[in-house]
Amino acid sequence: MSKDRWTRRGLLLAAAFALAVTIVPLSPGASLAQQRDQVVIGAAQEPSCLITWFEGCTLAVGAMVMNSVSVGMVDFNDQWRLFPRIAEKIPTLRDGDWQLLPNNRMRVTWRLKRTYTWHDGRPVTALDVSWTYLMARNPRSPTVSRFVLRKIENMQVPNPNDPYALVVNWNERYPFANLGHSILPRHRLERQYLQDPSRLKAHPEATAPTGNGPYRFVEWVRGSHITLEAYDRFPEGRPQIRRIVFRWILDATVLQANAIAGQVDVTDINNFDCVQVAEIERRNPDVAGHYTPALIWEHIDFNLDNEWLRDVRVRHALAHAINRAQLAELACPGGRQPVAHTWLPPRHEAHNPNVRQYAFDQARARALLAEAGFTPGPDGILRDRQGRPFSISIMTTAGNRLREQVQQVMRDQLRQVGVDLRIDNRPAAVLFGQITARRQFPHLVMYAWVMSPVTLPAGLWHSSQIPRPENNWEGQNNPGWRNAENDRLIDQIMGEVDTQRRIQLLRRQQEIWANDLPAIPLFFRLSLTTSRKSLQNVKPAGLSGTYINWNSHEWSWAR
Amino acid sequence: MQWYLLRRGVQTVVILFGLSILMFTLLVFTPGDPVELLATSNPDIQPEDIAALRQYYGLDDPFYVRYFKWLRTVVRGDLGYSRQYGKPVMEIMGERLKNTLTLLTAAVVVAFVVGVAVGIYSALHQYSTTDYAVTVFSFIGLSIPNFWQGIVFILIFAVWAPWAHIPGLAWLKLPAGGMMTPGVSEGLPMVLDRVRHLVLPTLVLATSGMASWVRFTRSSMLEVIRQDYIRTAHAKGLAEKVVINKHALRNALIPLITLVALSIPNVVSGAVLTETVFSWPGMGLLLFQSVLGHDHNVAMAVLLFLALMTILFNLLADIAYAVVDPRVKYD
Repeated sequence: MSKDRWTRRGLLLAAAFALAVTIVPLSPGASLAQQRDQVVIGAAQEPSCLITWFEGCTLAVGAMVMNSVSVGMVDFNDQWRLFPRIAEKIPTLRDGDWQLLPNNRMRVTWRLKRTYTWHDGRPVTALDVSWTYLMARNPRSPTVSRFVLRKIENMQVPNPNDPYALVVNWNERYPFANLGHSILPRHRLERQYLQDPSRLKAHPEATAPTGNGPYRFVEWVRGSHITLEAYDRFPEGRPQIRRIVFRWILDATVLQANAIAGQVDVTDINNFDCVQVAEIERRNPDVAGHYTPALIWEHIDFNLDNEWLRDVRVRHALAHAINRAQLAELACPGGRQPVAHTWLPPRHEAHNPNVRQYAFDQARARALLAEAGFTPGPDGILRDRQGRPFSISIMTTAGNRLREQVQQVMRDQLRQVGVDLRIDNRPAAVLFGQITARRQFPHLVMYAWVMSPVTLPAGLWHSSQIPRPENNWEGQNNPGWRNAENDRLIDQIMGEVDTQRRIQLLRRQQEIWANDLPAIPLFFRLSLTTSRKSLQNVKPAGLSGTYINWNSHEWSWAR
Repeated sequence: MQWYLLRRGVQTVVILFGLSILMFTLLVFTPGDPVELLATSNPDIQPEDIAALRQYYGLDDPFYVRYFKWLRTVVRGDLGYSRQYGKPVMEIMGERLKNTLTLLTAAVVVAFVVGVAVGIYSALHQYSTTDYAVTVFSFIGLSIPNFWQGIVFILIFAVWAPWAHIPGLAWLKLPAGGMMTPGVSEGLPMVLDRVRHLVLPTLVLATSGMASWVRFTRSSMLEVIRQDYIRTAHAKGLAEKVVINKHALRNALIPLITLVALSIPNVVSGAVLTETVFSWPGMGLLLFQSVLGHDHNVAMAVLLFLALMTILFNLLADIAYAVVDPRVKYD
């Protein structure tokens, strides 16, 4: 009896402690659903710093935060159209503010609006733009890519009394000279730059930036969140939402749970697949899923150095043998993700819908393989002229559930036409750090390219861009495709500044590409985001660099 | 004892040195350095950019040169600079250490209090229904991987939470992750908000410790209450409370002290997964992010910290054993 009393007391003590830890009243105002003056955006990454073209700051999520903190001279909208922001207008050849000069040089003249200010009140001027260019070009600055910077001879602010006019002199033709230039606050960074450019990444501005956009930076609690507050002097209109909070929830499943539980209002860069988004919509009727066609091209590269795959008939046969509509449906049920027939998506202005297409047709595949000299073996696997079984391998990123499912389906379908497909996957870091970059895949490799509306075909498809030891593995033409007419077209495209002419050339290039088929296009992945239905004016763009919050100053809660 | 401590101190330094070589090797030879990964994600990056960045980070130096550069700075008391965060590693570690210690302390206290109490109850009611139930739950607790348990808890307590619809019980719907509700940063609401965020990760992290300490306390208690001196104490007419508290419990807890000290490093390593699942901004999450981001200085600092914790708690367990059991002597 007394023994019982003792143990009861012990248990009561333990229970009281546990209750003290677990049972506490909800703090007033802690429910996000009730906080109508703020929006919480959940993401499955955390940035390391926010000057996104410094090495180490290149995570997409940093660019997403900066979409609300700073605006550019021009930006893309949700229709993938450029529109002027700090710039008064977009320069054009017709208006004469984009001039073609002898020796392939160019001059582009910009005028900036006088209404934009940095969040400390200083005006945004052309001096900021020209200084940012100088700083970024300096080899001692931790700039990731100087690809475009090297094409620029100089930037000038010709009239000291008019710091809103900028002249950019280009030393070569570049079709996208109207995309504007990066702007950082010179007055905040210059002192550190003069002391030691290589330490710029350690400057407080890299983690607590002074922007010129609709929201100003307030705090960054590492590992938890970033808070932004509306900047009332934003010239495009005072934001209606007072605060935007970015929360980092690195696990996609946990982020999904947060979206269902209503603890985040919006998600982007979330690592969701279509099924997860549909599940969020089903479990929380207050949430809308956005399935936005994007520029993420899922495809299978052939290694054209392989003697079998060098034969175009074999490549055509493999494309006919795979039911790509089924694979696209597997990736995103409900017909949301149509099959791709070229490397540019239907939303791209230069997309060519009339290229050669490869319908699922196993009889045609068998006929093409027979034409290429393959004969059925006793085990059902085809044999080439030397009697070797037609056995090829496919690589992709290990652990990617969807790609591994696609491989299983492909293996069964290819087996039906007598092709033995072996699956040989690698971790993403190995696949991209070594296998694709050095063309170490023997036959096929499946992965995605993330592109932008201004991606040019040179890096991907010009024969000079085939990675090999002689060029120090430069370039990303991983299939090793060589086609003289394609090279000629690409050379023209790279220097063609007339948009309509460039579109025509790109359409022709796609025809050649689809005939030669150096890669099997699978589908264009969707950009998957979610937002509360009561949050108005959410317009996902589906672009890398232009995230769901690109127009956050227009968001508002429904009354 | 002094010689013993000195010997252990020297051993600790040697072990840390060996571990640092091993960990540095593993990190350096993990496929894909940051610049290579950068090149694959950015079609515009040029070979000269890659070369400049490799030089900037000293990635072209031989492995041993990089190791000794790192070692030289560490020996001077400087853990180096974070490539990802652009800050000294010390500064980043300081922020995260506080959060991890909060979570660890809560988990260890909950696990110890509940584990010991339930273990004693179970021992004093051997073969009862409760005892069987405790045994079953202990094995479940020992077997469940904590990342899976974390997700299940989130689904039950943060997403599903059917009781949240009952008037007055909405507050029992717990946060699904993070350490705080942004915007709640002052006074009592802030404290209560932090505690609510602490509940789920604490329970998940405490589960395996709780389960093993229940089992251990039960068996230790069963062994003690069968001893002659306990029977003598009962025969002398001492109250049950006195017999259990003064004679049985103290002796039963001696081996538990060692077990707790030895278990703490496991709790620390469990925090890596728990913090990742719950987005708890501590050392575990920092390690996860730094390994993914090839931020070697940060990863090395966190790994060495975890190794040091393991060694220190082992030492603490040995010392505690000598303190509580006079039969144990170190010469």
